[in-house]
Amino acid sequence: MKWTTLLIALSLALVMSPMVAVAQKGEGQGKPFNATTPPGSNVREKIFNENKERIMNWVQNCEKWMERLRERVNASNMNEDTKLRMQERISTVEQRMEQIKSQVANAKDYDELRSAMKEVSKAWVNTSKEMRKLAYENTIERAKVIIGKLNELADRFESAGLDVTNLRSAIDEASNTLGEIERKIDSGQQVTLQEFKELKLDIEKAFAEAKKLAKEYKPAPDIGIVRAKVDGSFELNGNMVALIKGNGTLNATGDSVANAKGTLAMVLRGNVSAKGEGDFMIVIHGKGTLSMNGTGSYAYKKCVNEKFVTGNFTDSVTITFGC
Amino acid sequence: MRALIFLFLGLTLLILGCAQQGGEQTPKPTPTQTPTPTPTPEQITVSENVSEEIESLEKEFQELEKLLSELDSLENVSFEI
Repeated sequence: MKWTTLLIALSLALVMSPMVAVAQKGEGQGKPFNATTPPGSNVREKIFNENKERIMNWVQNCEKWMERLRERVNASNMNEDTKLRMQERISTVEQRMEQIKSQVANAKDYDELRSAMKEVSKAWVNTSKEMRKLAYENTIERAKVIIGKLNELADRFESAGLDVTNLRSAIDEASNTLGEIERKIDSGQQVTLQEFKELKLDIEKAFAEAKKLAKEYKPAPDIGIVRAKVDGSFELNGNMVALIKGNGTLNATGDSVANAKGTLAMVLRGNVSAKGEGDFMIVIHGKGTLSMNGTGSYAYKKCVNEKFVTGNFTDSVTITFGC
Repeated sequence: MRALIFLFLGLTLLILGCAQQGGEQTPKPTPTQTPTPTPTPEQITVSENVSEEIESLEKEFQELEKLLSELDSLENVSFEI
């Protein structure tokens, strides 16, 4: 009998001890941590503090990122309406981040924090989508400007007589990739980061080609450089390499003979005497004169070692270039 | 007689009214012709140094790329506790 009682007592002790342990572990659940609790003595308090700190740091990083995106948008030369729309959307995301921050900050115990995190997790799905969309839109706008500038550089190299085939082809590839991304975004399709990685590779390739040409680009010191846009007519005379792009009629005599009508892009070399009527962009390296009538703008340097002079015209202007 | 007086007074008032109206009449303002604003062509900007321009464009592109990749790291967050 004694042995039986002892056996029962031992069995009960074995069954009860884990239950007591579990009950002790659950103690304090849902209750705020107070000052009487010695720091670090409670594992749950430690986890609570660590997670709170981690999420607050993360929210701060998100806010910093949004601030940088805002700076980028402000500094960009996208049109004012687009800029304003993006700034408003950035403000909405920033307000959501503030809400997330206060939800986390107001959590007083482990359970409240866990429930706040669930709310934050749901809110983050839409917030991150909007942040990505904003970042993509900003990248597209800036990439357009970068590709435009690379095209201008290609024009300049071409008008200096350099072979720009590879650079033009790299720019075209980048432009096509960008166009595809833009088309997808406009039609509400999902754009992946992979597509932006492809764009990155294309633009990097164009940069590499532009760098190669920049090393070769050494204009003679006695020539002048002109870049002009004219909507009207122009007359060009002298010894040069001139790239003429645009829409209209063009007649050239001299070393380069050309008669063209419509959309055109051509390079005239040597002794050039050309007349054009229409909307043109002209880039020249050489010596001579360019007279323009109508409206337009220009940037030129008479000699390579001088600074560019810029201006607009609404009637006529004559530029003499070369030393 | 009374009718004549009334007629006289009426005519006098009519003449005075017309005269006043004529005196107050200001010359019609000539329509001012606002000159049609000529659209100012966009100013051309050309860099003095092509290598520097390429570097600056490259730097700008790298910044954009950095912004995108940082977004990846922000998205890589766990809400599990």
